[in-house]
Amino acid sequence: MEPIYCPWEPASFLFISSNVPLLIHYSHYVAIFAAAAIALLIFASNPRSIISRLFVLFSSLFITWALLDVILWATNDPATVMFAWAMQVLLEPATYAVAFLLFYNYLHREFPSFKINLLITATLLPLIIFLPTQLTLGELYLSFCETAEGPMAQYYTYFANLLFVSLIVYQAFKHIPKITDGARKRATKFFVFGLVTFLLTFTSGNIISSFTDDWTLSQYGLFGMPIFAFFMAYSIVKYNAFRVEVAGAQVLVVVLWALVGSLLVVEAELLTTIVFLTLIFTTVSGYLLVVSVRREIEQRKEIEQLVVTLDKANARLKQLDKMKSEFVSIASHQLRSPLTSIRGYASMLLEGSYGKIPAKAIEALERIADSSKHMVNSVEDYLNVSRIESGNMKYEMSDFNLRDETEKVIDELRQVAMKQGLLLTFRSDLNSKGIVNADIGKTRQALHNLINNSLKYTKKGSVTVTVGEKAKGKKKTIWVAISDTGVGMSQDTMDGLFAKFSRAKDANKTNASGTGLGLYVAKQMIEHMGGTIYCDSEGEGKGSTFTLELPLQQ
Amino acid sequence: MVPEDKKSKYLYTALVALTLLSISATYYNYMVLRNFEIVNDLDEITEEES
Repeated sequence: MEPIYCPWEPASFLFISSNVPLLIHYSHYVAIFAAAAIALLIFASNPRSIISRLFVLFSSLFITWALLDVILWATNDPATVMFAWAMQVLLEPATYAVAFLLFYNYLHREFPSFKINLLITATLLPLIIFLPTQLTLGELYLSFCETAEGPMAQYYTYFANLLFVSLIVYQAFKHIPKITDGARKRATKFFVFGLVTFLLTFTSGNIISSFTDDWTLSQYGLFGMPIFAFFMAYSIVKYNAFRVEVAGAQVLVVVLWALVGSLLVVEAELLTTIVFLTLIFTTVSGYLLVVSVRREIEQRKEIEQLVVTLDKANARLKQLDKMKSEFVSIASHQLRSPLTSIRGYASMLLEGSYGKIPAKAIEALERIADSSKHMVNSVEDYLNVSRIESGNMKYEMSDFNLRDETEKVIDELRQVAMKQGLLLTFRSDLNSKGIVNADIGKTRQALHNLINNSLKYTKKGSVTVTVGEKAKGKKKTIWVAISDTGVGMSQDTMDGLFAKFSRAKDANKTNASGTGLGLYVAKQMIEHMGGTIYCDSEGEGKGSTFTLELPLQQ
Repeated sequence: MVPEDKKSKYLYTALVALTLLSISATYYNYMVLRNFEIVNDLDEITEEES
């Protein structure tokens, strides 16, 4: 049997036909351009974001709906009408569901809970199941190529649409007042207002058409999309929603271009209305663009001004920094020389180079010697920090035996340990000679600082220094572990232990003379020579272990 | 572009699969089988107009 066709010429290229009212071109193509423009620009700004992807899905569903609508107007083939119409019945609530997901993600930066997802899928399920049945579409009337809508298409779709719109409105009322950032709050309000206006315009046009059987009305529903585009562009331009400022202006221009361009295909009697609408859109969007451009220019001027001020401030800061380093260096040098004299003469007096000293004076002289020694060490620390920070620390690398050097440092400090009543022991687990390539003086200083630090924070018991080696893949390192039975420390203290001027909590109770620079200087120097320093403690009162590691010379 | 939780992921995957199945069935029903009733109201329209 020959297929029956509706009584007009078949459409060429699917949608060019004498049956299509010219307003369709205006309403549909402008809407399609607007939807595509927003989706593409938002997607281009951040292709990985879920919101951008949902925007693309939302726009694609809408664009497909609009294209199917043009095909429906144009075709004279009843089968195409039935299929395209059924697809529209499915696409419309799907667009609304995605609009809800889009808004939910925009608001909460995450997908809804399983329960809400279940509600969405359960709402769409009957439409999907009954799509090919007469519950969706009934018989086709040949005169206008229109089909009688079944209950699924006539009632259920609109129920679903309104449900999704209600969910959006509910979410907006519940969560927008909680947003604390003013700009984001206003941008969200514009977004939701534009979205709901579009969805309601879209639905109302279709509902009225569905019940009156006058499908020319539904085409006005599509004007919601340019309105939505306008609100989106406005919130982008004004509040930088989606962080695509230029994109907002681009959307406005694309929509304007589509609006003006479509005038070419509009019937003469509609022209005045359309030109009027376009004029309103042009006026408002033009104003927005001018405001946006003016704001950009003002911001640029401010930034240029700031750059000049910052440049000056930066130059001044560099100069001050240099002056500070020079000051520290000069001051430390100036301090060191007299201190060395004080220390030297004090020890000469103590040794009896200037004759017998009364017993009372010996105690005073010992204090002078101790204090000056302590001061020399402090000045040395400040000088080292100054050198490290200015990058002026010189390292003279050579091969030496780390075990021997460690033993020498221990010998130097043995007296200090004995004075404090502590046992300072040395153990070697080395198989090799333990040769490392580093600055011998700096390494000794680092070891001195570490062992001295352990002695200072140990009231009774012992400090054990062990030398050993370990292999990490092909690399072998030699380590010196300094374990004490001292005050120990918490994780918090350990975290900031090697920072400049860092001292443990209540450190003054155990060691009042520390500057908080010894460990910092040691770590900086050892790391500069390719090694590392770290510490370990099981907690306060449980002792600590400081380990120094340097690469073993093969 | 999928939800984080597995249950929702399966839910949407099932929905998309079902949708594709339903679209195929609709296409086959209308475009291939042309399984729908056509009411020829052309004469009525002509009569009303005359």
